[in-house]
Amino acid sequence: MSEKTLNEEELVLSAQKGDRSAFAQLYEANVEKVYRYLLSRLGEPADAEDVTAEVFINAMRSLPSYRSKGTPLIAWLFRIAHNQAVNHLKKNARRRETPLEETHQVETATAYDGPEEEVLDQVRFAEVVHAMGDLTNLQREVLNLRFAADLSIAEVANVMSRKEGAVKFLQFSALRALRRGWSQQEAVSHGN
Amino acid sequence: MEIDTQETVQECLELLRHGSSVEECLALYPDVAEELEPILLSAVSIRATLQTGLPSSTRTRIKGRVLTEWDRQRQPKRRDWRLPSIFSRLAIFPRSAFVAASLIVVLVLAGFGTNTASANTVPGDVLYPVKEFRESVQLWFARSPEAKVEHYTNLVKERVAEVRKIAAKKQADLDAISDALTRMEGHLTALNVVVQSKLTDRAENDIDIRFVAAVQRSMDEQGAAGDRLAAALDDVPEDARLGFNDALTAIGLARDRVDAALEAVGTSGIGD
Repeated sequence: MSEKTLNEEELVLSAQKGDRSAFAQLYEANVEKVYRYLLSRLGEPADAEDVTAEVFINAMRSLPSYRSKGTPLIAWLFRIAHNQAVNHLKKNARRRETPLEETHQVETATAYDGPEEEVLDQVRFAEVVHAMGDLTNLQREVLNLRFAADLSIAEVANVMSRKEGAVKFLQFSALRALRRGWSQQEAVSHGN
Repeated sequence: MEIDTQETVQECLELLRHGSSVEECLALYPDVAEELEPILLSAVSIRATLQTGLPSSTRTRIKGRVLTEWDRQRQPKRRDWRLPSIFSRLAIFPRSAFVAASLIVVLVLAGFGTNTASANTVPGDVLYPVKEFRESVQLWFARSPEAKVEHYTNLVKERVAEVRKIAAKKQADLDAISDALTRMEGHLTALNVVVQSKLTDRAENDIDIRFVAAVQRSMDEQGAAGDRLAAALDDVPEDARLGFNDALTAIGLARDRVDAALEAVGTSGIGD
C-alpha cells in the first residue's frame, strides 16, 4: 500500500516508529493551518515561521507519547501552537501583539498581485488584526481558530477544551463586537 | 432569541465555508436577515483577510528546519563502550585505542563489501540505510567547518544524483523522489547553519580565507547541482514536479542566504 493512501492514524503510528516520510506527510497536511493561525496571533511572518517550526519540532519530540483517542492530530498541534504563541508573546512582551501598522509586510498567496493590490492586502490584514485587538483573549482565539486556521466548531471546542455552545457564543459575540467597532469607525469617518 | 441567532449565524457560516454566498444564506432566514447580514459580512471579510496563504518558500524553509531536527535526533549516539572481560588482560593498552582498532578491523573486514554495494543505492533500496549510516559516520569525522561544508555539499550532490536516477526509471517511485528531495533540503539547511554560525562567531576582521573558499566552492557546486536537477525536470512524472520546483527554490534560497552572509562580512567574491 502506498503511503499516500494512509490515513492520519496510520501515518502517526508510522511516524512514531521512526518513519521520516510519514512525519513529513503529517507536516504537509497541517502546516498551512498552523502557520495561518500563528500569523494571525503574532502578526509577523518571520515570527510565525519560527514558531511554526518550533511547533512541529515540539510535536516531533512529543510524538512517542501522543495517543489520538479519537481526537484529530490538528487539535493536539493547535494546543502546542497556542502554548508556543503564548510563550513567544511573553518573551516579546515589550512588542505589541499587533505591530502590523508600522512594520508588517504580509507575504500572502497573492504575492504576485500588482503592488497596489499587495499594499491593500497589507492594509486590510492590519485593520482586521488591529480590530481584533479590542476583543477578549477567548473571542480572539475563537476567530483565529475558526477563520485563520479554518477549523470547525467541534475542532475549536476540542482545542480550547470548551463546549461547542460556548464556542458558538464566543464566535457570535466576537463578530458582533467587531461589526459594532467598524460601524462606529465608519460613522466617525463619514462625520469628518 | 439570541441563542437562536447564534445557531443561525453558525449554520450560515458553515454554508459560507462550503461555498454559499451571503445572499443565499439571508434568503434562507428572511426573518432575521437584517440582523444577520452585517455579522455575516464581517465573517466573510475576516476569513478572506486572515486566510493568507503559506508561501512555498516559507513552507520549504520550515520543513527543512523540522526534518533537520528529525535527522539530528535520530543520529546514532556515541556510547560508553565497555571492554569485554575476556579482553581484560589486554588492558595494558589504552581502552580507546583498543576500541578504535577493533572498530577499524570490523569495519574494514565486514563493512567494506556492503559499504561499496550501498554506494549506488537510492531511497527505498534495501542497502540504503547502510549508505545513510556511512554518511553519518563521515559527518562525525568532519570536524572543521570547511570539512562540514564540503560534506553537506557532497550530500546535496548525492541526493540530486539519486533523484535523477529514480526519475530515469520507467515507473519512477514518487515517494523515493520526495524522500531524497526532503533530505536534500535538510542538508541545505544544515549547511546554512554551519556557514552562519562560523561567520557569526568569527573575531573582528578575522576572515578565514580557507573557509570562505570552501563556501564559495560549495555555492558553485550547489548551482551545478541545481542545473542538473532542472535539466531532469522534463523527465519526471507530473506529480513530482512540485517537489522538484520546491527543491530548486530551496537551492536558490540557500545560495542567496550564504551569499548575503558572505556579503555581510565583506567577503563576497573573495575567492573569484
